[in-house]
Amino acid sequence: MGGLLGTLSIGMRSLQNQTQALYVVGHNISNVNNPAYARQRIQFQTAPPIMIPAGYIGTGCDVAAIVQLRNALLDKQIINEQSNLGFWETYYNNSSFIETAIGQVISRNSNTSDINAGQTSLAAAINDLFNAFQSVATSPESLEERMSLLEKANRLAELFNIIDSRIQAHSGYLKEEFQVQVGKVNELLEQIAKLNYQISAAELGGRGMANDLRDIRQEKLEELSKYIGINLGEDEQGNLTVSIGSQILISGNNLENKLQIVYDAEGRPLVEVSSGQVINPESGSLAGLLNFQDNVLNVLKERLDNLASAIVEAINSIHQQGYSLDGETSRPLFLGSNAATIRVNPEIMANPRLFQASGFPDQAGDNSIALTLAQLISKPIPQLDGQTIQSAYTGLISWLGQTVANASSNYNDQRSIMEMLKRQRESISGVSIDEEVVDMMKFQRAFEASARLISTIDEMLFTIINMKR
Amino acid sequence: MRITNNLYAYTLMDHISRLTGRLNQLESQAATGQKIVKASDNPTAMARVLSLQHEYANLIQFGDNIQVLKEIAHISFSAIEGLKKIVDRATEIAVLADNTKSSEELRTYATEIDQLINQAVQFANTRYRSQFIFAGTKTDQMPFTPITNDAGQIIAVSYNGATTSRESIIGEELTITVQVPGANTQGTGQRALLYDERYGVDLFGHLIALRDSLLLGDVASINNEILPQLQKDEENLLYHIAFNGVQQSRLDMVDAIRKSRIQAIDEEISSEVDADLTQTIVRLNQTQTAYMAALQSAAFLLNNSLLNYIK
Repeated sequence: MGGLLGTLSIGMRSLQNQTQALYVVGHNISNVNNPAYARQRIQFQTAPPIMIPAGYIGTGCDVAAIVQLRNALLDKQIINEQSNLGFWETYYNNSSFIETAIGQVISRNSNTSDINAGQTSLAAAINDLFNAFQSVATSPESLEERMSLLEKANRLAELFNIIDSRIQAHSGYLKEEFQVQVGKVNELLEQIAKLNYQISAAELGGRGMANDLRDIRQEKLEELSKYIGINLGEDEQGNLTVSIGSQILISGNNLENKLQIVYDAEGRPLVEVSSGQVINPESGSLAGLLNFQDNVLNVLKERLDNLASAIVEAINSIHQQGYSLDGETSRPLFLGSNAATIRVNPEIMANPRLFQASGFPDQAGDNSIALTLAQLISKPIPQLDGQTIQSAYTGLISWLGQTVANASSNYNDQRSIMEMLKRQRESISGVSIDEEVVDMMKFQRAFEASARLISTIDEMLFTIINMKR
Repeated sequence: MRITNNLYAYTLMDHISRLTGRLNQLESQAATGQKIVKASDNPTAMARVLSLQHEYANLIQFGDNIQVLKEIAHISFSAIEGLKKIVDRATEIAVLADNTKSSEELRTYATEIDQLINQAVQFANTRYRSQFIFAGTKTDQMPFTPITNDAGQIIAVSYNGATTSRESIIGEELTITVQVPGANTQGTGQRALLYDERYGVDLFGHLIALRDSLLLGDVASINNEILPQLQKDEENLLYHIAFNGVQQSRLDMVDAIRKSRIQAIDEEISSEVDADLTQTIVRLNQTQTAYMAALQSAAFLLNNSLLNYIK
């Protein structure tokens, strides 16, 4: 309808529209520091005109929609890269921890001129043991040198034990961490399924987009992708599906599968969905943990055990042929067969005379066995693929260092990628206070103008009413 | 590209984070003086340093070994020198013992030879710490045991040691023996000090024979048999003095090479591990300046927005 009352109606609707616009501005400003929030914009559209004798006349404007400014492609990219970041972050943190647990560092800060002083690592302990064999070879009848040798042998064994116990402790920590992360994943899956339901209910009948719920869901999806790499899709009804490989976890409102950790016959952890199918995550922190355990922790333990076992066997095979100061023979110097169990024979530890340095039963001054033991450090050992003991250990440290360095590099690269993507998203979806303040002023002025229109129409109506007295 | 307040803040925090990370790294280098601490800092360099440290530890041990061997060689030399003096005096007496000497004089010479035999036994049983140095590889047993008659005179000296000596490590694939067996009855192997049939050496036997001949007044036997025998003993002792000298020279030479290598290794490790402090401090100052500039610009820009200008 036209006329004064129609104009009044236009004014009133305009007041409502500007108020709603200011509401959106207020919503944006209040969420300025919410990283999950995508800024919203009110969309006006011209209200349908009406026909009057003079032609069509406008009836003001309506709020068409409140839209969210978001780039769906960027959101998907962020989800993918978040998985990669989760993988490398976990892989790097755990690798770095294990490198520290090994304890192989270089320290030049000591108060002696000996560059090896202050070294408490396995490398120093190995050097000390084989040099102690040399000292005994030089003075085989000396009890002091024998006692020193046995202390150094004990130190080496203790270090192996300590490092092994750290690896075992970390393995135990990983078991707990698997459970914690799977728990978090399942919690997030439940939340996302619930959000799917809420979004479909809110958007039912074309009532508009549930922008805020979608923001929350995107946030949950990104958090989920940090733990495990996911694929997003749509089912036939256009509802969001979440899957890992061919296994569907969420379909629309339904939580189809949850995750669980099971262990195979060798004690290796496997990720399984509730239907019993094993999945092989390729990204996310769960994949990072699995990869770390298989390719770093287990390999490290195997190599360390192999080294300890090689040292025990190589030394014992020589030592057992020798004779002690009192002519006794056949005692092994070391007991045990791996890093956890290696220890000095307690009989010899208690009585240094029992160390079998001589090659003859009645020649206490003979040092042929001690000499052979001392020279063992530079002999290739079949059990170590022909490497010497020293080079096998150096190779192990070098491999571990390279692993950590690569993980660090990949982690830093991935962080840079994520930062770049997040900056891009912030550029598109982020709230600018300056823009909102300008919009606020704009809508405020429009509100004032609309109020002025109403008061003008009101005066005109008053004039008309008071025309006949 | 659209820049929001938070985008600016994220970028700023990212830069500050990188700067503080870099500051932390440089400060660590300056405080420790090292550019490598753990393997992941530089895996290749770490492998090289571990090898160098292993070699260094070996060189230190070689030095300790050389020190012990030098001491043994030095004590051996003193004992051999003492034996040489005994042989010199015995030879002198053998020359002096001729037909012009009375039985009384000859007996006096015999008494002196008796004392020389006892001294020789003491030298032959010289110890270094807990080991008898002329016992071959049976260093825990006194090598020479005197057998005496009722009058307390030594009539024979038996050898209880081994005929073999031990090798000791003084370098990479390098060994040496400074031990000398007191006696060699095998006929093969190392030349012994006091008894070796191959070289006609039997110092105790010859001294005892000299004493007995002097007591009997048998100067013909002294001149015709014992003097040449003592000569062989003396030649043998000279050989061992020279051998000892050669071994000591060899030890000195190897030690000098070792010390030179130690210095070289220290320099090599330093070049791999040590940070250039001057460069580090300059970079630290540069990074600190950049950090302060970032903070200052942040403080200015973050405080300003359109709200400051709207009344």
